[in-house]
Amino acid sequence: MTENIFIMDKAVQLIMALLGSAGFAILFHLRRELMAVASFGGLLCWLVYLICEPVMSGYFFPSFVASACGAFYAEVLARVLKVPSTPFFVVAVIPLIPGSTLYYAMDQVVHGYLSLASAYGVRTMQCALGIGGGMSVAWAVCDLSRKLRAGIKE
Amino acid sequence: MDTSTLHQTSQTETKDRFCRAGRFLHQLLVMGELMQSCGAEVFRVEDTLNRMGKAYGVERMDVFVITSSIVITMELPDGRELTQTRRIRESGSNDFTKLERLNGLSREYCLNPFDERVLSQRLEEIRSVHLPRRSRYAGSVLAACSFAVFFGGSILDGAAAGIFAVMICLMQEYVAPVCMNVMIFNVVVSFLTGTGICTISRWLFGLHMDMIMIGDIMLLIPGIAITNAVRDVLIGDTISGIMRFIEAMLWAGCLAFGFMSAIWMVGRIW
Repeated sequence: MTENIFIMDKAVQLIMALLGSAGFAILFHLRRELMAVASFGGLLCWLVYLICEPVMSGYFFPSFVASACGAFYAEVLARVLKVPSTPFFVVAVIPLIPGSTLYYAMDQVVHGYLSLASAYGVRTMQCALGIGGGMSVAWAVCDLSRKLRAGIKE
Repeated sequence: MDTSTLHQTSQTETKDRFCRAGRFLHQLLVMGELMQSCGAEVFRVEDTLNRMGKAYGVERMDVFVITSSIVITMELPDGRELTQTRRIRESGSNDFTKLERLNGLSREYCLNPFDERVLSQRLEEIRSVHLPRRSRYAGSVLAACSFAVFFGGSILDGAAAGIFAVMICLMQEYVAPVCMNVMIFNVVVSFLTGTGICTISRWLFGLHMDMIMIGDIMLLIPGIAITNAVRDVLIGDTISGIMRFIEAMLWAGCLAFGFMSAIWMVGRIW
C-alpha cells in the first residue's frame, strides 16, 4: 500500500515536471513546434534525478547527473533540429531548480532559526552548483565530439 | 586618367570602405544587444559576433561581452582598426523565438554575407517580435499550478497558486513600469502576493500556505539566473557570472524580504 502511494507520488511529480516545464516554455516564447520535445526534457531530468536520489548521497550528485543528462538531451535536439541548444536546456532543468529549499531557507530566517536556514541555504547552493557543473561537463564532452568530428573530416 | 585622380579615387574608396565597416560594426552591436536581451549566454554572443565578423572579411575580431557591456574591435584588411562599445542596461527576460531567429540570421549571414542595410532591416524585424499577452498569462498560470503540486501541494493549492500567478502577471504589466528598478518591484510584488496568499490560506480551510507560495515563487525566483551564473563561471566568463550571481542573490533577498514581511504582518493582524 505504501509502495503504491510512493509510486503515485512520483508519477504525479513527473507529470507536474512536464507541465511546469511546458508552462515555462510558453512563458519563454518557445516556438510551438518545439514545445513538446522541450517540455519532455523537464520530465527526463526529473526522472533521472529520482533514479539517482536513492543511489547517491547528498543533493549535489543527483542534480549533477540530471543536469548533465538534460544538457546532452538539449545538445542532441539542437543538432537534429538545427536550433540553438539554450531553450531546450533552460526548459529541461527547471524542475531541478531548488525553489522549495530557497523558500524554506527564507522561512527559517524569519522565524529566527539561523542554523536551519543556513542548512537549507547550503542545500540550495549544492543544487545550483550541481546543475551548473553537470551542464558544463556535458558541454565539454559535446565540444570535444565536435572537434573530433572536424578532425576526422580533415 | 592621371595619377592624382587615381590616387583620389582610391582614397575615397578606402574611406567608403571604412564607413561601411563602421556601419556593419554598429549592426553587430545591435545584434549582440538583442541576443543578450533574449537570454543568450555570453559565450554564444561572443561566438556569433566573431563568426559574423569573419564572414564580413576582417583580419581579426576582438569581441568582449559581459552582461552589462559589449566591446568590439575589428581589424580591417588594410590594417586600420575600428572599435565601438555599447552599454547594456536591461538584461531582459528569455525570448527563445527571438533567439532562434537571431541564430538563423547569423547562420544565413555567415553562409552568404549581405549588405548591412539589409542586416539592419532584418534586425529591426526581429526586435519587433514580442511574446503575446495571452501566452504570458497562460504560461505563468500553468507553471505556478504545476509547481505548487510538484512540491507536494494538493490540487486546490495548485488552483490557488494559479490565481495568484494571474495577479503576478497583472503586476508585472502595470506595477513594474512605475517601480524604480527590478529590486523594488520584487519587494512590492512579493509583499502583495505574500499578503494575499497568507490571508486566503487563513480564511479557507485546507489550503497549504507554503505550497502555494512555493508555486508562485517559482515564477519570481532567480533560479535560472543563479544557474546561469554558476555556468558562466564554470565555463570561464567569470566577470559575467559573478555579476549575475550577485544580482540574483540581491533579487532573492528582495523576494525573501517581501514574502517574509507579508507573513509576519498577516500573522500579527489576525
